[in-house]
Amino acid sequence: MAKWDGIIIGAGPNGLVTGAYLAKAGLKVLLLERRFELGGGLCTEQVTLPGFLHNTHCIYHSMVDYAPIFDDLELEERYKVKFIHPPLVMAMPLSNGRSLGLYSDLDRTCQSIAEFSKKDADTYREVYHRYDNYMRRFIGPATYSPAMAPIDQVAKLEASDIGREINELTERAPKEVIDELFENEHVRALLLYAVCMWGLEYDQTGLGFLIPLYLNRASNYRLCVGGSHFLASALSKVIYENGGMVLTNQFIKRIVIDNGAAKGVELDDGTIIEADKFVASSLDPKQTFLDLVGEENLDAELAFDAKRWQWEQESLFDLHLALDVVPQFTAASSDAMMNQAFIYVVGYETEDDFVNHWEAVKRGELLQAGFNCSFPSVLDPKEAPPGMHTGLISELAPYRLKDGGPERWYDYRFKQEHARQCLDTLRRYAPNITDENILESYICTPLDIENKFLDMKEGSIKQGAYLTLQMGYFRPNQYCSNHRTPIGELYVCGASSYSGGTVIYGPCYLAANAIAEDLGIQKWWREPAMVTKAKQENLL
Amino acid sequence: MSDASYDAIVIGGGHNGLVVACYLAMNGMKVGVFEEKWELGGGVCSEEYTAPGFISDPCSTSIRFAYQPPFRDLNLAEYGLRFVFPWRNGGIIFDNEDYIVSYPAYSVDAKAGEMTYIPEGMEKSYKEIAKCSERDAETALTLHERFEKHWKERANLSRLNPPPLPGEKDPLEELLDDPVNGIDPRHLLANVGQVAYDLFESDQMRVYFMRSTASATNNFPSNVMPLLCYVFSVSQLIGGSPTAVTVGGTHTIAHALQRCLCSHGGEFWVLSPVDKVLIENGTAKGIRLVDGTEIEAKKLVVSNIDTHQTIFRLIGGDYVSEEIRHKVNALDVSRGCILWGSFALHEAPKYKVEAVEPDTLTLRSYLCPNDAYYARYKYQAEIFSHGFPSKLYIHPYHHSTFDPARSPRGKYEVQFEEYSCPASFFTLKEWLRLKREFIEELLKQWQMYAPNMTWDNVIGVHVNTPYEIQMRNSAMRDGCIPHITWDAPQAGRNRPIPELSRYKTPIKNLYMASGSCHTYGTVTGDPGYNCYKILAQDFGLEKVWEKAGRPY
Repeated sequence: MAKWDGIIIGAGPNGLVTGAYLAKAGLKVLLLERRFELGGGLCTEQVTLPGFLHNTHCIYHSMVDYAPIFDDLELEERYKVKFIHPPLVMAMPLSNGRSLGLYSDLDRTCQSIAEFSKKDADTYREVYHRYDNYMRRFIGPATYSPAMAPIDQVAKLEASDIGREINELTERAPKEVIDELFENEHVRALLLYAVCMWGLEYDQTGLGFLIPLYLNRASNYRLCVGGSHFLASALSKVIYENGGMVLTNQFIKRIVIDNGAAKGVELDDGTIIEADKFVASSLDPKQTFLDLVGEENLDAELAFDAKRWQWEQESLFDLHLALDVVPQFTAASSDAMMNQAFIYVVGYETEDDFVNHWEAVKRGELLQAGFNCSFPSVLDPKEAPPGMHTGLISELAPYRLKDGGPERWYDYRFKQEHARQCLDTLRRYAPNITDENILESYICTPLDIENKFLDMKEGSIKQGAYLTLQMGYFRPNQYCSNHRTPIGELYVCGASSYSGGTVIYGPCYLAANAIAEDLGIQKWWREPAMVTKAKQENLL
Repeated sequence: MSDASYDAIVIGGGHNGLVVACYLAMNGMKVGVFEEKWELGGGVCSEEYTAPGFISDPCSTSIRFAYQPPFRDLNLAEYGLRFVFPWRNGGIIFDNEDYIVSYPAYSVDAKAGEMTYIPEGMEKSYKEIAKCSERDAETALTLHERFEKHWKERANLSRLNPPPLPGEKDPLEELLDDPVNGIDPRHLLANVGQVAYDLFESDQMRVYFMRSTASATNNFPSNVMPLLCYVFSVSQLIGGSPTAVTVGGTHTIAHALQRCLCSHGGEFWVLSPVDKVLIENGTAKGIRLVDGTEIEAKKLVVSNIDTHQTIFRLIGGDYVSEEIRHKVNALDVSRGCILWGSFALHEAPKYKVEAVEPDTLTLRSYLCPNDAYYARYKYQAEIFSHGFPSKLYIHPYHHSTFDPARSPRGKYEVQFEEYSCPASFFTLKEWLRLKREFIEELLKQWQMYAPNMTWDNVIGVHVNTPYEIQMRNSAMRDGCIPHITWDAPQAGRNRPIPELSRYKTPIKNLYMASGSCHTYGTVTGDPGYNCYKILAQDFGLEKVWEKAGRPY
């Protein structure tokens, strides 16, 4: 009899949550993580100076108010996990000293927009309510409900007003929608960035349901108190308390396939660890199917789909800062709140600024344009020593540089020079971030992302591109989007499966459900009320 | 959490605290560990601070934990803790292209935690030393034989038991009365430099002894070594203490201990600084966190933080005699302050001497000017005026050669150490400027030994100064990694001070287990283990050493 009921490959947020639900359901689960630290993208590291807690990957938590995991696992009550929803979530300071802000309070947002365009302020209010409605009634629930085949989903939606609106929006591109709704150039720039900041192309059609999602989330991001890793650690505690285990520094050579079923894994040193009931992989489809399962164990269609999995065209250049001062934005002289924003959008004052940058990135070029930045310790003092602050500049960047390919990102002086350019841009808006006030800094390039997280190949922070052919029901492909795979007892639960990437807890929640159902395990958790309601309304 | 209650509370989540916590949890106690920082581990930490994908150890990296009792007793191999003990364990390369490779006298089964003597280790090391001086090789051989037959077991008995009571002799102390197989008593009164010169005749061995003693024990040439330290220092050059690199980073030790703790029902809380131990009628009853939360400890509390914080903050001066307060205040923390950093590189340093002897690329190496006079007198003086010496005696750890997990495939991570002065000598900004100067000088001097150590080879670099070391760990005051200097007066039965050397405090049921304690730190878990021995006595807990059939 094997020691473990199930093995989960990867202990990032998706692996951890799948493990937590199933461990609490009474299964003995083992998580195997390649890195030396669990948590995957929920990482917090002292990469500049001690006491400065840098969130080196996930920093803006987007679905805290929707993901069922927080209530289900009692993360706050039992493990002290807390989030801050700042009053000013996303801010755009302008070089003329004015500013635009998306607040957690809708009225304040409208007030801010009204300073640029009364019409846009009214539109925003109306759109906010409409999109919030879409979120609550469909998009939110759909994130935590199994994927439906497109034909079926579209048909269901066509039967209602709200559904028809969503279907119509799906066909449209972000810039098109925003330009139609809003008139002011700065408002358009901020909202376009908000929609596209995770790698959605400004002119991409077919994924338009992400427009209301990202616009709605733009004023709903949260910061995790104590750093994102605190959450990962809490998730691991659920696993330990329920007899599970998480091991790090584990190098898996293959998934053991016996009579067409996944029965365990083999490590690089030849050790075989058996899994009695299931193996779940939170990795990307190429690693899962081609490397670990092996083509000889795949049918032709699945092999083909795994091979054609597309990585993302754009990645991030991150610059982490340890600061001796509180950043002072020039725009704060007209609005003091400007020094208290969570996310600053800097350097993109018009849509063209952003679009030009995007196009440059697609060509493999760097441009001194804009980025988002954040100073989390201003909102969460635990993240830096008293009186000092953390900063992060997060800029769209190509993995494959036109000049020198990805390897060029290793060039120490090249990176430092690019970092200096980013700082020059920032200083136009917050002039007190001088070299003297930067105690230490740390760079993370698209190549670094690939080195840190093997499943984020080519710096793909979502484990694979958001293209219509690999989204929704097709993520990672039609055989596996509901987390079961054609291989017996093998499941997928990572960001490359439905409902997608960034840290939203959709894939893992759904995978846990699928595994529990298949094994006939009593679910200790209830269907989320929003999902029940969406089913009652026949939207799901 | 205000109604939380444990049988035992451990203040501080460093490895010694976790070791005690695990033993207690395995004995069925409900244990809670409270750590002020955002993660457990204290000195067993790792960061990817040169560049993502390159793992470095900001504190301990040379680890001898695999052959200590806690590793076996707590079954830590099961919790993913792995070590690599390379055959090319240590050595030194001189600026005149002389070199000495030190082969280990033991092979270590890192899963079972057992050591097996291998004669060829010392045989090969002998030949290496003989290249510099036949006399020195003979001396080394004599020391090796004495160590093997007479010193080693006594050293184990000494460090793996609480110190003897006044009037009793420590097993090692008996060696001072043995003129044949024992330790030369003059060497316990002499400073490291005098010992180096008295033991060895060649510049090379004198430099090797002084520099490796500094690194292993934090004693400068002008310091006088305590007894266990002397034995440990000598063992460095005769293969007696093989060292390992922890696969995936030293922090893995913290992970394994934490998993062991959680598997036995223990709990841990980070970002939970403890303000005070709650004391009633001279007995520890619980703790109060800085945020005001009070937690009950039904049976005992262990402090894993340094003596100074334990006495002055956790307990509070009122409960402690003036004598103890004065002595604790007077403790020296000036040694063990280093510049300790890493490079992320395209390729490993390529040493010129490797063409002659490939074994010179060892896990822990020294790259040293062959200048014993400078090393004995000027090295330390320059360090204390400038923060680092003009002639660098570089101490690299060639991690990626032995633990490929530490860097992306095809790339390389190397750590380096040089000695420095207490953090308070400079301000933070002065240290930040100083370290940039140091990095430039480091590359320049490293190139003398390995010409490929240029900026073109560098992907990333990070240096910790003593200032940062104290920022990372509040127990390492002034940047003193072992908490307090490990020199003759602050060792053994006198460590940290005679009144506090048996792991107990003036408060009933409040114990100590940290690098401040009698055996000294490095990563062995000895203080945690010894504290457990005292607890086993006081609380009737399992005598694991008797069960395992070992004398310590």
